[in-house]
Amino acid sequence: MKKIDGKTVKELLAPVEKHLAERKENDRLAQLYRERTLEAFTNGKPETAAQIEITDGANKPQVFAVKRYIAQTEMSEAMGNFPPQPVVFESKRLDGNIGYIRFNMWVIPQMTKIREAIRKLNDADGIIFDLRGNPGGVGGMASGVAGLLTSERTSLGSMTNRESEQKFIVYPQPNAFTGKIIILIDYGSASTSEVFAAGMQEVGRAKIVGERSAGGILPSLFDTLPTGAIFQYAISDYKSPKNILIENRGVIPDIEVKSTYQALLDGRDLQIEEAIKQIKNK
Amino acid sequence: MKLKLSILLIVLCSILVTAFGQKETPKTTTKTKTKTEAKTVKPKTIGAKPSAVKMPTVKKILAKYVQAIGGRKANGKIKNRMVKGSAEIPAAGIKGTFEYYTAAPDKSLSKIMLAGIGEIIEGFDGTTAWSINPIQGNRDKQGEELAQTKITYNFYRELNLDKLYPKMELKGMEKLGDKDVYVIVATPENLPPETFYFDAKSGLLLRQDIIVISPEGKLPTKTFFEDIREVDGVKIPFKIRSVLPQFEIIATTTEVKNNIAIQDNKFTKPKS
Repeated sequence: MKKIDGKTVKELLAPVEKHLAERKENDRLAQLYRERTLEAFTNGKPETAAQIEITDGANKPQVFAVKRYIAQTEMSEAMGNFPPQPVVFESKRLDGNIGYIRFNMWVIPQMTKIREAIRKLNDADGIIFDLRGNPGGVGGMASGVAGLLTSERTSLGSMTNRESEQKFIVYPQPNAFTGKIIILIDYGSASTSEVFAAGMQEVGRAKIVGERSAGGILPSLFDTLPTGAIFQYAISDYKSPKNILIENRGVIPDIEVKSTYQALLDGRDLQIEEAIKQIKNK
Repeated sequence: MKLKLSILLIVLCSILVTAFGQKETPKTTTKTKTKTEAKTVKPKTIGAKPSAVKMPTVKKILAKYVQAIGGRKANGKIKNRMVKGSAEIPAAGIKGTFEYYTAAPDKSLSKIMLAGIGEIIEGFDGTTAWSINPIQGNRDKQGEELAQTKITYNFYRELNLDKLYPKMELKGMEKLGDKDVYVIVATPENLPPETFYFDAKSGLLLRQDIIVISPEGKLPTKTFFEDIREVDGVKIPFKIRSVLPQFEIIATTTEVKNNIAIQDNKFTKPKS
């Protein structure tokens, strides 16, 4: 992307770059800040358009007028100060009897969808959980989903505050899926996605494929300020089952596969291809 | 009900902490007390030790407490109870309602509906303590958690504290808000000690500190019993505040009915 509404990406990101230089965030979080800032500049009133300039595969500029509209997306119910969030969910059976589940965020309405999808894919050779770009959500859901994928009680790690430690205990549920699990992550996978990925990796229940995750994992609460702004603040630390601090470090994939510019141009998803390969490997 | 409902909320809320990424990491470690903590959590010790001032015995304090809540006769007439009300976690803005059924000798069923989360049900049929929630699914309690449930869900718990806690020791007198309270450390068998704060004047239990045990961990919790009212000759707190390390949970009772028709299978774990 080169420009939004006539302003160069460099101009739009200048305040963010200054902030990043002062804070020395890791590269993955820095990338997320940049993407979210640019995304914010594409927002506007419905029925208006954003002029977006990009370069194509031949490195030639292309300008599009992208019309804005109100997305007809299912929204989660507000959970206290945690505002409603879009609920995007996809599950399907890929060639080779491989299950695929992707959801945009860990919010309560996803729980029923995930549970039903796992039940439907119970006879699959393996299931791919695509958590790329999933920023997290309700922390307890990580162990809730893990309970559908294991037959033994375990823990996905712990969160520690000044006075106590709480574990992400996994309670095995009846008829759990016990086949292969591959979790796809990238720099946009954060928080609850990282609890799930780090925990499942370290207890030996899943193989992680993709890129190192964001490393933004601290459990937090939301409060509403007098101005109406929502204030999110961390309340504890998180350590993986092997007692590793994931904040800033992120989850390191078992098999690192980076998405490439050429693969995108070719319409290929190298990370899913590797996940499928891992499930097919006996 | 006292501690029973609040324990369910405490365990539930400790797992519902929202973890949502890309936040800024706080650099300072300055502790800010909540309004509630500043007000009542740290009662000022006035230094009255049992040995320094003539203090009542534990037995007398417990007897006064039983008298304060209506006496053995009035309490003994109650065979079951239904309580309804609202629940709130102000720090997270979470609100909901609850229904709580309990019957002698030790059966209970709690239903909590929290907006944005769903219905959480916990039951104890005298043998099996079970839990169903939309996030974790189904589970049975075991070990220390089950042992704590058995003590907590005893229907006549308030009348039998001396039996449920074989070791009870008066530690002295403190200030809780503007009230003088007797502080008793009570230790149940094979479980961590708890601390009771009895109003020296009225005899009522105003606060209880307990380590809430669950597989998730051990949560130090301070529970305050407020707005104590009489229903059918028995005194019950209509407001229960539980202060956890991370936040406070408030359960406010709006309706109490005693000795209603409750079928025994209400407390049995449903077939999944």
